[in-house]
Amino acid sequence: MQIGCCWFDTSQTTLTNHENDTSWKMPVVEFNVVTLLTQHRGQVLSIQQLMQQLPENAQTKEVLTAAIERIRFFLGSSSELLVAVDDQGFMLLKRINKAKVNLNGLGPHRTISNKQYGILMAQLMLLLIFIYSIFEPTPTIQQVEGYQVATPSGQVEYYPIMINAGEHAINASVNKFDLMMAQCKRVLWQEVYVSRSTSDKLMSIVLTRDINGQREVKNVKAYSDEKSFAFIDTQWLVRQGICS
Amino acid sequence: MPTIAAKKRRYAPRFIVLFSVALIAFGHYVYLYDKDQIFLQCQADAYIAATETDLQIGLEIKSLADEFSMDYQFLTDGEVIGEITLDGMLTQLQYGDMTYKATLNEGQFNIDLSSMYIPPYMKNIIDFSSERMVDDSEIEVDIRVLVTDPKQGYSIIQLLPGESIWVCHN
Repeated sequence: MQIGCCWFDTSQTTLTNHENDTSWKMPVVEFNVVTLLTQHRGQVLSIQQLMQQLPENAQTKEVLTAAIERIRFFLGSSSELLVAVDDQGFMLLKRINKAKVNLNGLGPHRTISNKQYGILMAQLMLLLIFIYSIFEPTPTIQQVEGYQVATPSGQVEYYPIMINAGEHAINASVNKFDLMMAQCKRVLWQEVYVSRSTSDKLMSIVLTRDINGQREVKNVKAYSDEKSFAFIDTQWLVRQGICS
Repeated sequence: MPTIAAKKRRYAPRFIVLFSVALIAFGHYVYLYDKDQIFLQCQADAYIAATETDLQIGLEIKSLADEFSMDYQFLTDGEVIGEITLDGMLTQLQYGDMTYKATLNEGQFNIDLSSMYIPPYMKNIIDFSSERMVDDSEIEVDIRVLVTDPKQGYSIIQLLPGESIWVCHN
């Protein structure tokens, strides 16, 4: 008869553990107890019922408890099949309750439920987030240098993106943009990036600001055949939502 | 001595937990730091000085494996008046200056003929592409990442040639 990983041979009075390939020639007390438990598998047997299987001169609770402990020890990982019921009796289960997960290492015969297992997983996830918050490499890249422009409403970070083609006139118009911003009553953005294209017809303006921890961004482009971009004045900046 | 089967049963839960954590960590890392792929969505308000008109421009830059595309959309008052799709290959990512290098070898232009108006910005792109994509020629495009913040989900890029800058959502 199979008891977990063990085979109980009533004819040979042996219990064979297939996990560690050992066989136990059972003493009479243990054999009788296991025999009765297997005959009533899945049912609770009282201590008194089990004690009746012991020799007449050894029908004590201590002898029974010692026998149960030896049986459990030999059953090894299948010892969970033999459970004590409220200190009143014992029951040999037909199978291990799958709802329980055995986590060896937490102590002998310790089990945790799926709920506890879920909590453990959640804790590990939180630990992961915590580790990321400390060790996460800085992902932000900032490859351009800017400077602060004083405006009536405060400081604005200004980033002129210069071109390398030696077009001084183009670069000069980018540089002049900060002077126009300084004339605004209020600049609505915290960072302003400005570039002129080599075709000389396009001015690109990138605006960013933080609102309640969220970064808001905006592109504004001006296209003109006229090199000076003279139409860009305070009124135009207001119309484009850069200033107010 | 415990058998191999018993050892497997003993270590399986711990292995599953560690494997799950490692998998999530890896997924998170790939999500944040996968630099070999691009997906940028940009919107701009444009002002055309010659006609004193406003224009909205949409730009979507994306790559899947080595395939690369740039899709422009031009709108006035919410109506699409033209689209340009440029396709090619993503060739390289220079980590030093964070520049994606791509080549464009195919272009499609859709113009709303009823509007009778091609914005000069759009015309410039069409002319530039048409002149250079003749006889299997390619246009080399650099996308230089000036600023990127994956947590806030935006990047500021510079397109070369042209040197225009865009702020785009990742």
